[in-house]
Amino acid sequence: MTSASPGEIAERTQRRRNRLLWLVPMLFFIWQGAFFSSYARPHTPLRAVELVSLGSHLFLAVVLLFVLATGGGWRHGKTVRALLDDESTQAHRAQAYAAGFWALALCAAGLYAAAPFVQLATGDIAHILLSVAVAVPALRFVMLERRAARD
Amino acid sequence: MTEPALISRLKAVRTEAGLTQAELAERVGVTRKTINTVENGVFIPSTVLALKLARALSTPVEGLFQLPDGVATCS
Repeated sequence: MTSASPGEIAERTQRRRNRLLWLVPMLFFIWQGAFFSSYARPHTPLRAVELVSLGSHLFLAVVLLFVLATGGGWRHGKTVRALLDDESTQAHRAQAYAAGFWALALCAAGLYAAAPFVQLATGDIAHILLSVAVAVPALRFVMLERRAARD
Repeated sequence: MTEPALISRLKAVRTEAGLTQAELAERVGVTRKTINTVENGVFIPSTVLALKLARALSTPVEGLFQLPDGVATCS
């Protein structure tokens, strides 16, 4: 059996990374919807299920940000990791961060405008902003990467 | 339709050299995706990558990339 070249390994890992950064933010958003629809009001003590949900949300957010920031492929060598973070990937990441910035700014502006009419706890606001800050750059990154891979 | 910021002849030169995108990518240390985006004009390579590509294809950089006509230059 011939061993795969670093380029082939990087390409496979890239596809896996794209799948992860596409599926997980979707799950993330769906999960947020379910969470807010069954969420106990802030004045009531949080139930164990909500604490677990909030903790997992934070954990998943950190994992996604880490994958996005580092390019992934940690179990591979330096050569493959360098390929996974090559020039076009860095450019796509920069564009994804810019999209995240604008999405976050618009979301913050929306929340600011809604503040006199809708009462939101600090935790809810942080939850919404974190979701946008994670999901938008991840999805934009995958979009750019998929487009780049097309002939 | 807007004119591309950079005219790339990379695909033609690579094909002439009998290389696939993957082979060229391996020679210059990037992924096939990066070569693809440079060839399609989606991505403008850095000076370092442009020089690496030129070296890998034994051609001057001007043989791979050109500015479109009418681009203003400062003298």
